[in-house]
Amino acid sequence: MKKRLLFLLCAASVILTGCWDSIELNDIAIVTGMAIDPGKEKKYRLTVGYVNPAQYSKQNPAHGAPVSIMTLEGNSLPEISAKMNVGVSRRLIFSHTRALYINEKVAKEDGVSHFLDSLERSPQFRNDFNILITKNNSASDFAMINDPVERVPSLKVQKSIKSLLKSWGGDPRVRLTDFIDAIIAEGRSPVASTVVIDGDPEKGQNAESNMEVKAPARIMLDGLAVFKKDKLIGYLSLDDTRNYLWTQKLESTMISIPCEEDGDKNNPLYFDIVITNNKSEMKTYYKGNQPQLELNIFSEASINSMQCQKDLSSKEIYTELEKRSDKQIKNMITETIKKVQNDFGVDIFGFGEALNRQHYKKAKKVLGHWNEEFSRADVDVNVKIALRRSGTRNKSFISELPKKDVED
Amino acid sequence: MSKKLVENISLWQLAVLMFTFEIGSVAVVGVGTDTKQDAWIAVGVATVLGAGLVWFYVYLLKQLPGRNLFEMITFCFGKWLGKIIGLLYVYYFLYISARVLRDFCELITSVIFENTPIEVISITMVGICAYMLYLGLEVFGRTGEVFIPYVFTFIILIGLAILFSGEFQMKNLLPILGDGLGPILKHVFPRLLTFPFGELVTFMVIIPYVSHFAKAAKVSVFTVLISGFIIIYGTVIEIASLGARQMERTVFPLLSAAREISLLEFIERVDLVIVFVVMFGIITKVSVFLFGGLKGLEHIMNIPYRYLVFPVSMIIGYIAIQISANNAEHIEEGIRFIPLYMHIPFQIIIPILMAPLLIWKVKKQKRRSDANGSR
Repeated sequence: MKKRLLFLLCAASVILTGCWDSIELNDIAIVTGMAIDPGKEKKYRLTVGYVNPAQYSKQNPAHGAPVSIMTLEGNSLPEISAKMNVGVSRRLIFSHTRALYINEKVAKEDGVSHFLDSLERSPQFRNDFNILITKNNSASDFAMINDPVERVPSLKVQKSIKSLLKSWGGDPRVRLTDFIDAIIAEGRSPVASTVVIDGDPEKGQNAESNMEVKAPARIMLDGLAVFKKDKLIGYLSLDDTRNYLWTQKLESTMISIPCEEDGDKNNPLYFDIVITNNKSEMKTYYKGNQPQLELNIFSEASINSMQCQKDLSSKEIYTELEKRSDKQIKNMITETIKKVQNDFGVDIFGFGEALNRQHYKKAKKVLGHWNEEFSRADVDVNVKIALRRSGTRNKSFISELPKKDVED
Repeated sequence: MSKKLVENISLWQLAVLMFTFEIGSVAVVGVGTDTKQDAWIAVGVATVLGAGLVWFYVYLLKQLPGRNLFEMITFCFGKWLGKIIGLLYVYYFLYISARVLRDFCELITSVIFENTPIEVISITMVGICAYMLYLGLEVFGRTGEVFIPYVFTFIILIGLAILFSGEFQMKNLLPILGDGLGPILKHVFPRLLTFPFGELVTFMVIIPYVSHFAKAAKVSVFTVLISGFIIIYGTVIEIASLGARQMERTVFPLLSAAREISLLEFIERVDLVIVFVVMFGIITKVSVFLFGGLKGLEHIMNIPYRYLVFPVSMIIGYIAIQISANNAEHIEEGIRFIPLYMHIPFQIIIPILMAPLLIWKVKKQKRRSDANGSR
């Protein structure tokens, strides 16, 4: 019996030794940001920023840099990242990557598909990091700008994007799989967020910059990068980005609308509405041989500020303001779509996919050259804003002011 | 013949085994990806046909109550021809069991244990199956019973979690039937009908040991419909969360879909739950095929199958690795050769050929025994 038990234990020790792939916690370095620049001698220059764990100790946090970076050149991402240990002591773990910065030069000249494939194929990368195109500065600068609140730069960018989506909406909400899907799709072209550095990147790298109230450098979101297949072809501004989001899925936004269409040019008056619930529906169809892009938007909103001389306790005023907002938003969105049609000629909105869903037989014929069809299509945007309430006041105190004072 | 150990499993255990058998491989490799966003329709059509096929299998078994597939083959084709056909079935069952095992090994080595040698995974997995079968069919049935609640709830929860993560986009399912029914039917026959539904032919070895044999037909058909429903559910999840284009490119769709889950930034990275479901499904599937092959060997060689469990299972662990040099070869074999040269003959042609012979022989036997009785 004892012999048997001994044998069983020996056998178990062979089978249950654990896995080959175990790595101890103190042997890994968690990568939070990756930056891709064009290489000088080789194809790419990759910079990884990984967390310095001593900084996060609750009892006695070290006073060092929150992240450390390492840069190497090479021809492909997996090779460079495997080679990083020439300078990094620990094994790099990429599953918690928060941001991927791509230098605009790389995106413009080589296209992004070469390294996106390795990211998609690798089991380490999750589908939850942001793809960001960096303007002006080199991408590696972005991986090392400190932030006093979040400390880790890439975490800061991701959080900032998340908060922006909730408050104003300025990020296309594109993840790796969406981006790749848009590259290969016939009826949609990819977009990505762009970032810029506001300030002096040299100073921002210093951990001591976290001591300052006014950060010497700050990473800022700057709108959209428009791609044709996998190559960058141009940029859209932040305002256009929000208009782009209206066509997709807008969580909420705040928008100021002039009271009168042709009011006082020098001192225009505005009222603000906050969009709380938004629904947009895309319809693409052909009228004869002319493609028609139809966008129907229905939003619920409430009034947040009122500079106009209007009495918000009357129903008619609500209707009037609704009509003003409808028109304003309609113009904004139409303008953005027209701009994309004329300047870039690629369908970043996904009207082609809508056609594929709605009129499959027609789509089969035209999707092959959809971008040309998209550029010559008629745009028809219908916006319906439903103003529901106006905060904790109905009439604005401004309307109570003696008229004369305002006019003076 | 030596006296057989009589083992029985209950109807509920049969249903459990069939259910996990069905969803096991499907959870690994996904089905119907060629039909793009209409994959779920294809699965639906295949489910109905599959239920018919299973009904047919049980109908054959009913003609000779208490005898399994191999005994039935000998009864129909005589001793020698019966043994040859039986041996072919043994090869078929063991080969498919090795293939299923390889599916799982591929998943583990490419997603979780990248550096672990594939041999280790294959041997440990087949070791579990061998041990379970060595303890007998009853233990196998009870194991299924123990794990089924987890498997079932996990699959349902994964779907709900994807739904609440906001990754679930119904518009990915459009256009419905864009190219008409043609491509779907082409895909259903032979591929979807044979995998996963036609593979239930293995249960012709297990169903005779069910304690309430009379109700077996009803239970089997019902189970196939339920599991078909769950497969449709899984496929809809895959399409809606990944989109048809991406689903075509992923090697393991359900796992990729589970990776999209992020509930309240708190429940994240739950893909290991899928690996659990897959692991249990694979253990069941490998064991069922292995059991089929072993029972066949028992019938042909006239020795209790328990003597054969360990040697044969180790061979399977080895074949699973040797079967193909790389993943692409493995998948291509599965798509191009297996359905045509293995699934269709063994799942459909031989049983259909056997049916009239069986009915005729049973009638003849009955007449003879009636004549004997009246004499």
